[in-house]
Amino acid sequence: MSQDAEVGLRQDGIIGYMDFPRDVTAQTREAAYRAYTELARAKLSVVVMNFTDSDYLNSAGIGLVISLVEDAVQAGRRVYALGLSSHYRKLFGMVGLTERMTLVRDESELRDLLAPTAPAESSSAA
Amino acid sequence: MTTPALSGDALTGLPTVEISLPGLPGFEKVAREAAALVARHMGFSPDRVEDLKTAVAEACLNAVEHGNGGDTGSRVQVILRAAATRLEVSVNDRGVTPLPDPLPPPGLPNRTRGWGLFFIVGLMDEVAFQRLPEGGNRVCMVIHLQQPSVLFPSPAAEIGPVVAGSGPVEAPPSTSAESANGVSLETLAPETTQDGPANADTPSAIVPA
Repeated sequence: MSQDAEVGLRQDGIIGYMDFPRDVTAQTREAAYRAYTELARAKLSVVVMNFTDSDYLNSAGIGLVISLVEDAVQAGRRVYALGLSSHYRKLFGMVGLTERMTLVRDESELRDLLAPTAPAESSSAA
Repeated sequence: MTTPALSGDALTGLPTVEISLPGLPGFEKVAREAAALVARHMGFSPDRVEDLKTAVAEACLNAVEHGNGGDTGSRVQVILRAAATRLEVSVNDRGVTPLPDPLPPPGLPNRTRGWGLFFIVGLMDEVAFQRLPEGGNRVCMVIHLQQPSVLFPSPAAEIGPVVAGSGPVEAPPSTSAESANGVSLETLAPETTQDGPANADTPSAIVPA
């Protein structure tokens, strides 16, 4: 079964958004790292992993997120996960991701969290 | 890929769904959706249905990648058995790579892989990992309904536990060795199947959540 494995990348001030596809699996790895490398080159200090369109994350996909989060945290970036369902929030907690990244429900909550550090940049977030 | 077939179990008369999946990544979603459909009909809550979907998908992926050794010509058999207060899902493969016993710590060999069994154990009410006498692996997972399913209102419409005899449906005892990931792992007596006892030498472990 083929699937769209592309990971979109948007920049909004100091914030880099990684827009994950519907399926987040082992097949997503290459695209996700391509996007993350681009984001790292731009020296963005905040990474937002956007799962709003994702409805299937398997263990390999969650392992990929773990790997990306570890890289980002080691580089001193703050990492947020946006748009996860309650089930995947639970799975992120089970693997310890919630200790390394902040889960936010929507863009509004994200803007509130980032407001003290990036008040001007968050205005054009998609 | 075959179309899921709904039929009555030969011995219990309870609905059984059997699915034969191709050994390709992505087709685990067929089993995942079929299990979800049955679970919703039985009255499981949305949260529990999501738990089941993840566990079934991970068991199928494990079967494709490890149990069938990545051989795309080998198939994965998925059997759903619905009863009054439980749904049992078995995932069978060729057993090219035996299921680990005891379970490895999660996140190995590196942090990016190795979480599948961890999710299965963490999300299901009962899990049994078995080597089949005829060869092959079987992962058997059970989730329990708090209230009897509206599909099977009669208490008589029940099947026994997945493993270890034919007593009432209840979580197995959890006194045993603890694996490196902190999940208790228990070796059980040989399984009694509908065809009689399974091979006594067959390793079998059950993990209560």
